[in-house]
Parts: sequence; C-alpha cells; structure tokens
Amino acid sequence: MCAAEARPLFCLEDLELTGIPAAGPAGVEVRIVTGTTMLRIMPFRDQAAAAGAALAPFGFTALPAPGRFAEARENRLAWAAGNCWHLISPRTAPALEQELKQSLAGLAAVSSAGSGLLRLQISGTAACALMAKGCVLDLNRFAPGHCAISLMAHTRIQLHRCADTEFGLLIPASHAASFWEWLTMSAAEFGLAVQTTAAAVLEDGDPLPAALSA
Amino acid sequence: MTCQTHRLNGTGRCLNRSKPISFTFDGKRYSGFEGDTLASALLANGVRLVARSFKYHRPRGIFTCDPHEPSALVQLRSGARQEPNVPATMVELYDGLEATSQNRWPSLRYDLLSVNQLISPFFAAGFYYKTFKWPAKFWTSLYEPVIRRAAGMGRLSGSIDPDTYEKVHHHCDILVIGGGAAGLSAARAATQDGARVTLVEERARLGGFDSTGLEQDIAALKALENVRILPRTMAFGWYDNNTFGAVEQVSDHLPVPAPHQPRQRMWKIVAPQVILATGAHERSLSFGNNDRPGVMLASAAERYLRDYGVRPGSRAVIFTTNDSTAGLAEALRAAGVTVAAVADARNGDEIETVHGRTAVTGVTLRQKDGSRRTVDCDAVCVSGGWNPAVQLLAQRGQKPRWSDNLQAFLPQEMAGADFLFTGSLAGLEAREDCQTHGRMAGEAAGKRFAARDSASLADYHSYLEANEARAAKFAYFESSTGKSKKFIDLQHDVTAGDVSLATREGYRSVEHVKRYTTLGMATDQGKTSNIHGIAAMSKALDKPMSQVGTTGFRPPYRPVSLGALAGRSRGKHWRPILRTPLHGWVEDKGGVFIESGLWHRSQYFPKPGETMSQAISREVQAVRSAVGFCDVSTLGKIDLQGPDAAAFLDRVYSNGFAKLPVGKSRYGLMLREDGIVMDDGTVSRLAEDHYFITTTSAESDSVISHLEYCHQVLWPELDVVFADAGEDWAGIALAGPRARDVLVRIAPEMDVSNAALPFLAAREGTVLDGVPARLFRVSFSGELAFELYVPSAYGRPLAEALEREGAEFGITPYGVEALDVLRIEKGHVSSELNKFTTAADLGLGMMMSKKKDFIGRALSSRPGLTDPDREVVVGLKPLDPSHSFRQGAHITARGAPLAPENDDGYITSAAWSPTLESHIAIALVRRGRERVGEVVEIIDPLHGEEPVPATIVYHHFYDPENARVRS
Repeated sequence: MCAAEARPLFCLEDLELTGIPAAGPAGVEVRIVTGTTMLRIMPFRDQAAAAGAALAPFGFTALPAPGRFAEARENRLAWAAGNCWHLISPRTAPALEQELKQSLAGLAAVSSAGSGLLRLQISGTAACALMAKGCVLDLNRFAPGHCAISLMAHTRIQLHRCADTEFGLLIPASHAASFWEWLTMSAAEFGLAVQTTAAAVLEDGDPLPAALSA
Repeated sequence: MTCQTHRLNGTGRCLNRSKPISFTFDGKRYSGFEGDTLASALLANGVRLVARSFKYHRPRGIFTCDPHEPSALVQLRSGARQEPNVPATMVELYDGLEATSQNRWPSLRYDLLSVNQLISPFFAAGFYYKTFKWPAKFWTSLYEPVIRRAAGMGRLSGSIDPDTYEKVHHHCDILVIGGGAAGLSAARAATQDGARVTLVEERARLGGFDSTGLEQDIAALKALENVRILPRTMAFGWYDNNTFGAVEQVSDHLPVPAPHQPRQRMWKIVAPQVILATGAHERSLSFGNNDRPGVMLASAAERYLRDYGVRPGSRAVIFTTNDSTAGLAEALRAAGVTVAAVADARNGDEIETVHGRTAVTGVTLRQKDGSRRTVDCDAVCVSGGWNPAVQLLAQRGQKPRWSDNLQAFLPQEMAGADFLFTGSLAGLEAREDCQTHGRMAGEAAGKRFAARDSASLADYHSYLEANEARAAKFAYFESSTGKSKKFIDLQHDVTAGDVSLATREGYRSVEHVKRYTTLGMATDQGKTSNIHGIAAMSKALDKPMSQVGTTGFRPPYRPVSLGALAGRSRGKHWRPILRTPLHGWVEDKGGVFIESGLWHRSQYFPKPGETMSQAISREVQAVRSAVGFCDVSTLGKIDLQGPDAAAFLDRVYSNGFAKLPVGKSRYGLMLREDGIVMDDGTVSRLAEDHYFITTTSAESDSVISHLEYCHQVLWPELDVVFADAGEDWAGIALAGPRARDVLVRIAPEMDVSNAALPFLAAREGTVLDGVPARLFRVSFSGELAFELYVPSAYGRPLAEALEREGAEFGITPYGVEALDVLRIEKGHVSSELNKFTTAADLGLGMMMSKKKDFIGRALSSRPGLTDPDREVVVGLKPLDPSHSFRQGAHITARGAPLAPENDDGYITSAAWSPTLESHIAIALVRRGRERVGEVVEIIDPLHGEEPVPATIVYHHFYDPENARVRS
C-alpha cells in the first residue's frame, strides 16, 4: 500500500472553480482555504472555564463568549454551538489533536471536525452585498470578531466576521457543491475571483499570489 | 409608424425628447420618448382603446397614471419572457418594447365575446352560483373550463422563464415607505440622529404625485451617507417583527436584463422603526358608462399633461367633488384642450351617463335643477376624492376608521411603538402640510432611534387632528340617476347594481359582499373601487360608512411574481443537493444517482448493455459470492463523550449499553415517548467515556434533535457532550465472503482476523498507510462485512484503493438498490420503521430491556401497542417465484372478498432475490407470526394487477442462523 493523499476539495469535485470576470477589479474574492485542521472542543459540565484556561499552549486563556471568536498566533478559536468551540489551525491534524486532547483531558471532549467542512474566505468591495443575498443577519452590527451559526442558501453555515469586508465561512461538505453554485450565481454581478490556497500561507501572512483566477 | 398626435410641444418633465423610442402594440409600430410609460406613449399616439374588460369584454382605455391601473392591462414581451396582466401605466418604455392586448378574440376592436355585453343582465353578481348548479359533474368538465376561457386576462407563455431572480436581506434603523413629499421630508429628518434610513419608492422617480420643486430635497437626501434609496421597489407586505417584503424591479425597464443581473430582486427588510408615507389613491365616481375609453382620473390627466406632455383629448369634461381638480381646467386649456364643462357635484351637477362605445363621444349632464344637457367631448376627467393608502397598515391587523370630515378611511392608530405615518396617508393634502408633518414624523423616529421613549409625539398628533377637524369633504359617490351600467370595480366588471343585488339577497358583511360580487378581488385589489362598494352598501343597507367598514387587507399590496418569491431556489436549486464524499468517484464510475431525501446516492453501477435489474442482480450476487462495497456516508454519525455517556445511552435506547465493552459495537433501538420505534443504528464504544453512534440516513437530524432534547430538558444532570459528526466521516460498507481478504490489504496495520476482530468488534486504527480510520464489524447484508469510516477527504482515495486492491477478489461497487435487496433477503428492517410500528411488531421485542428504564418503555405496554391483532413483520414468498408484487400491495386471506375489513396488512419491502431466485417481500401482517405457512393473496387494485398467492414465511430469508456474518 502506498500512502493515500487527501482530497481537500472533494466536496467541490467537477465544479468550475474559476471566477467570473468583471469590467474592473472583481468585487468579490473567494479564497478556498485548504490544509486547515479543525478540532471540536466540547467542555464537560462546569469545566468551560478550566478548559479555556487549559488552552494557554495554543495562545488562549479563555473560551470566547457565544457569538465571538478570538485569534492568537496562527490559531483561531471560535464559538460554534451552545457548548462547542472550534480550534482552527494550520498545524497538521494528528499532532494537534493529540496535543489538544492532552491539554483538555478530563475537561472537554475533543474530536476532529475539519474534514467535513469547506472553509471559504470571502472578501472584496462587494463582499457585504454578496453576503446580504444569503445571510439574514444585520451585517452592520455583526462586527469583526463576531461569529454566528446561520442559514445561507438552504445551508447551515458558521460565519466569522474577519474584517469590515472579509468573512470566513464554514460550510458542511455535503452542501458545498450546492452552496458553491449559489455563491457563483450571486457573486457574478460583482465579478468574482477565486483562489485556492493552503491555510498555512494565509495564516503566516505571506503575500497572496498576484493573479486570482478571475 | 404613427405620429404622436396627442403629444404637446415643450412640456413633459419626465421625457428625454432627444431619445425617441420605437415600440409595438398589437403588432402596430408606434413611437415615444425615453421617460415615457407605455400608457403615456399610447395616449400620445392617440390610442384610446387598449383592453377588454374581464367579464363583459367591454372596451377599456387608460384610467390612471398609477401602478394600480384597473383597465389598461397588457401582455408584455413575447416568447418565454411573455408576462400577462401588466399595467401599461407601470411599463417604462424601451426601444423594441412589444405589448399586446389581452382577453379578446380575434382582435381588440372586434372582440367576439363582447357579445357578453348584450347578455349582461344574466351575468349579475353570483350568477355562477345560481346558474351552474347541476349536473354537478359538469362544473369541472364543462362550465369551469368554458367560463375560465371566456373570462380572464393574459396568458403565461408556458415556457421556462429565462431570467433570474434573487433575494437580499437588508437591515436599517428606520424604513420610510413612499418617496413623495412627505416621505422625502421624513427620511431626511430621520437621519439627523445618525440612524440608518432606507427609503423605498415603487416608481422609478422620487417626488410622488408632483415632484416639481422637490429636486433639491431629492438631491440632498441622495447625498446623505446614512440613507439608502431603493427606487422601483414596492413594499408589498408587513410581517411579524417589522419584517417587510419588497420587490425591486431591477430589469423590468430593459428589454433583457444586463449580464448577471436579475429581473427582479426581493428584499426582506427588517426595521425597528417604520414611517409610512404611502400616499393616497384618487377615486373615481359612479355614473353611467364610466368605464368608456377616455374616462380618466383627473390626477392622471394632470400628470400626463405635466410629466409626459400628452393631452388626454381635445375636448374634456371635468367631473369632481373636491378641490384637487382646481388647477386642471387651466392646465387643460394651456395645453390646447377645450374644457367643455365642469360638473361639480358640490353644486348639484353630475354626469348621468357617458356616450360612445370604443371611445368617449360625449356626456349627458344633469344639473342641480334636474335639467339635462348633452355635451360633446372626447375625454372625461373624474375625481371623487382621495383614499389614503392604508393597505400596508391594515396588514398589521388595523381596521381603518372612517372619517366623516375627510370622507375617507384613515389608519386607526395614528402612531404605534414602531411606526408613524404621514402625508396623504394621514389625510393631508397640501404639499406644505405633507412636508411639515413628514419632518415631524422623521424627527420623532430619529429620536426614538437615539433614545427610545424620548420622542414627544404631541405636535405630530395635534397636526393631524387639526387637519381632520378643519376638513369638510363632500360626501358623494354615485350619480343619482341614469340607467346605464355604473361600474365601481372596472377590473372585475362589478357595478353598483351588483352590490345592491347582493344586499337584496341578504348579504350584510362587507367581506361577504366582496366575495359574492368579486368586488376588489382583481389584481388591483380594489384600490379604485372598494370605497364605492362600501358606499353602495351604505346606501342599500341604510348604514353609515363607518359601520359598513372595510374588508381586510393581506399581502401582497400589489401582485408579486412567483419568480421573485422563489429567488434562486428554482430548478435544481429549489432545495439543496447533498453529495457524499464519494460523489465524484461514483460519477466517474458511471454510477446512476437516486434522490434519497436531499441526498444524491449511488443507485446502481450499470455495465454497458445492462438493464437496471441486471445490474442490481449482478451487484447482489457479487456480494453473496465474492465481495462488494457500498457508500454509506449518508448514515447519521454522532460523537458522544462524557463520564455519564453510558447512562445517557441506557436511557435513550431500549436495550442496554452500560455493559457494552470498549471495542465492541451493538445494534441499538430507539423508541419515541409513545412507544413507537423512532430509529435504529449501531453504537460503538471507542473508550470508557467515548461512543460513536450511527443512525439511519433519514433520521439523523431528528435523532440529534431528540438527543439534544433529552440532554437539555430531561436529564441536564448527566455530564455528556455530543456532536453531529455526520460530515466528518466517509463511510463504506465492505461485504462478502472475501471482504476480509480485501481489508487485509487496505488496513495492513490492523489485525482483522476473526479472532482479533470478531463480529461486532469496533476498532480505531489506520488504513491506507496512515489514514485514521474507524472499523466496525457489523453487517446489513448478512455477509461477513465491515463498516469502514475515514475522514471525508479520504473517502474517494479509500474507494479507489478498495477497487484496486479488491480486483483480484472480484470486488464490485454496489448501490442502494442492491443494498436494499441484500437486507430484504437477510430480513433486516428498514422501511418497516414507518412511525407506526413497535419493537414487537418488528420482531425486536427482545431488545426491550426489562432491567432498566428508557424512553418509550411505559407507553410501549399500553393496550393498543400490545394488541395481538397488530400487524407484525413477516416474509412473503409467491407460490410461483416469478410472480412479483410491489411495496404497498395489500394482503388478504385467501378467498376473502375485497373489503376493508378483510385487509390483513401490506407489503413494506419487495424485491427480486437473485439469491433465492424468487420475488420476496417483507410485510406487516395481522397476527403474521401465528400465520407462518398460510397461503394468502397479495392484492394491488391500484395497479390493476391480478391477486398473487403467496406463503407467509419468517422474514429472515437468507442465513437465518447468522453463520455468515460471523465467518
């Protein structure tokens, strides 16, 4: 047996991942982020504070409040449901999972969630206009650092407001193809640029490739 | 091309005369200018006759300049973009526009069904109900089709709309509905405390009835950063929590939408504060033949003159009850129109009847002293006063109140905690009043935004109260004499006589009269007619208008296209399509998909030349004789952890889990509170406090919800956490006598021997040289089998590896059809979990623990669920193996007459078994287990099939000793 290679974009197979040109610069840029490890943290009863404190090795001292996410070093810690947080990191899965399980032993359940979610970063001058086509939230009050579980294009998504004109989306893999088609149709009027990039590149702050596939 | 005979020189503030436009109406070419509406351009070309009425096919012209035009409805465009029932008054002219008249044959001028006018005495209100009573079957087969064909409006194209529609969500602090003088003032004032203000206006231009002099106000408003203006956007509904529905006509004014632009966009607007400045609708008056082409609302005549440079005729008569027509006579004269007469009802003058058929040729005036005179004219301008546009407010549940002073229905509450209203909706008429009060409303809303309850509404209220107290409008709705038809609802051909008849026949409620006469039920929803219906009822019943009241108003305010409501959710996107991690691989292998709920699952994998049944049989035989694999990623998967996880499972499942050893799986049965089976699946213990649960594909969401309920409500004291892990793992069932041979190659790091990995063993390990995996030795097929789970991104690599490594053993991918055949042969229940069956019904009674409590235990012993007469699971085999039967077919005792009381049950699963070389079925049969060996009859009258004799057998057709799964 030879080692198998993961198919990080399995949920978008057979779809056009190219952009849609506009007269000027694309109003919407979508980065399909691969190479991310996403771990689910679910504190046991009365252990949320202790679990948060135990995340110091990962750069955090507490679990963010519901509806918020925090960033430290290369990691993001985001509230994901009533009693569930996601640690999102560019580090490789097995080692990170092992380390996290050790840190949270007896405090929280840890499980891997990354393979089942498509991660998109949506930015650009028309990012808010695009999001408004699918998202019921008041985006003016959904400030950077906020996150939400919401519904877009029939799909239950996790939404992170990363900056004024940048959003992070976590989309269930089974819905991803359907969601992608909605996304491209809805973004077409603004011009759409698509880029597939590894999380590590983004998180390290390296410059993005100059040419997006518009 | 005709020349624009009625176009004036120089006037027309909406026109761009440097841009001529060519268009056609009923195939004839005309010209207009940019800025024209279809209605103004037709009038400019001297076209008076543009439509035929709904019921009587009477000739109709252009009656208003408004979106609620009742008469001039046309069919716009052709081909797939054809759109019926569009008011010509709302169609912005574009080059090449194609419009046709509707509801006429063979032509607009010579319409054969205009014969209906001659027999109109038989078509009075309610004639359908009185006339077409019998024979009853003729209603659907004859009467209704004929009536619908004769009466109606435009037609749909029958083709798929090639354009797109979309939705957008919008939030603002203050929503202003209406962009007239009051709305503009309100919006500007509302911004002063920093609120985000959105103004929606259904027309393309702001300014309302007359935008002259408002240019600076409009420009100033547009310059404000915290204001968003949505022109061509009609607010059609006011829903709970101040959510508004609005439709933006993005591309309706263009021949085709620009690339990537929708035709229409539906806005869902949420606003804590709303200011309604929806204006008022001018009403007509009821007099003989008041529907003839050339009869037009006075405000419309004024606007066509001023905004479009079009004169409504050469010689006009004005019929009015109020001062809003004060300037009309002068405006007409200035345009070169002779004003032949002004009949002011306040002076006792009135129009008795209009002369002419396809166009007005004159009127008979009846003067105060009773004398009559005939006046030649080609235009009649009518104003019966103004109706505040209360529809949106009424959608909120308000019943409008009648004001004797204003002779109009006004919103009942002057203000609410979350709304204010202003302008002519509030009964104001003068522009200055609208602007002043609009500013008051805007300032109050702005202050409410800045600090709730800080705004005083004293001035706001007193302004309206003073206006109403000052008013003394003249009460007049219908001419006192005349025998010709007096129409009150032009769109539905309802006359004053129809309303009178309804009251004579006993109808007293305005809602009942509406439905009996169809008054106000057309696309204009009675905006020009309801008030006259109420007035006619008031007269007939001798009750004041206030006691007659108005009908209710519901969304939409104006018709909304279904496309806008659907948005992107049409075609294949009408619901989400769920794909498994193996979707692409299945496609590449030529697999056929089947929709199973929202999932697209692999149904079967045909080889060239194979039929579906041949492919399924081949796949089944491969599993029975060698090895096959099947995508089971759609199964629900739940990760359950915590110190109390075992106790939690014990309470949720009917069978016990506390003693399940680590490294073992167990079949689990979950009941509802009422004792009915909810779901089944497997539970595997990965560690002391860590379980992996699978559920059926169909019930995964409901099981998660159920567990959340159990934890949050029933047993919050239990320390468990669980997550829906359905998306995390790709699942593949590997089944067949050679399954282990393949597994050895896929998972060389794991010991998969029968000794190390016995039946119902559960392991975590790695496959494919380092890929994390969960391996469970469970079997749905009845063969030696494994369920293998890997992270979803490895689903396809795993399938490819299985195909490659299993080739030597004859491995075959199989779809859900073969999966179903395999489980039916084995006798596993699946579709038998149909929300009606108990564990005992399913032959799983032994899984009801007697040593512990669990959900559903108490009610599962109630008499209804333990009745020995219940239908229970059994197998069926036809006496002749080639005889087939279907799911849903019923079972009767042999020789029993076909009658409901002889129904002994029904087939829940049926298949051709290539293994047994016979059709087989699983069925729910009354006292079935006591009847094993009995020959019964399978009846299927729905499909018209002959009864099939079959023997009741135990439902474990294949390997009942379970030897193969343990091999």
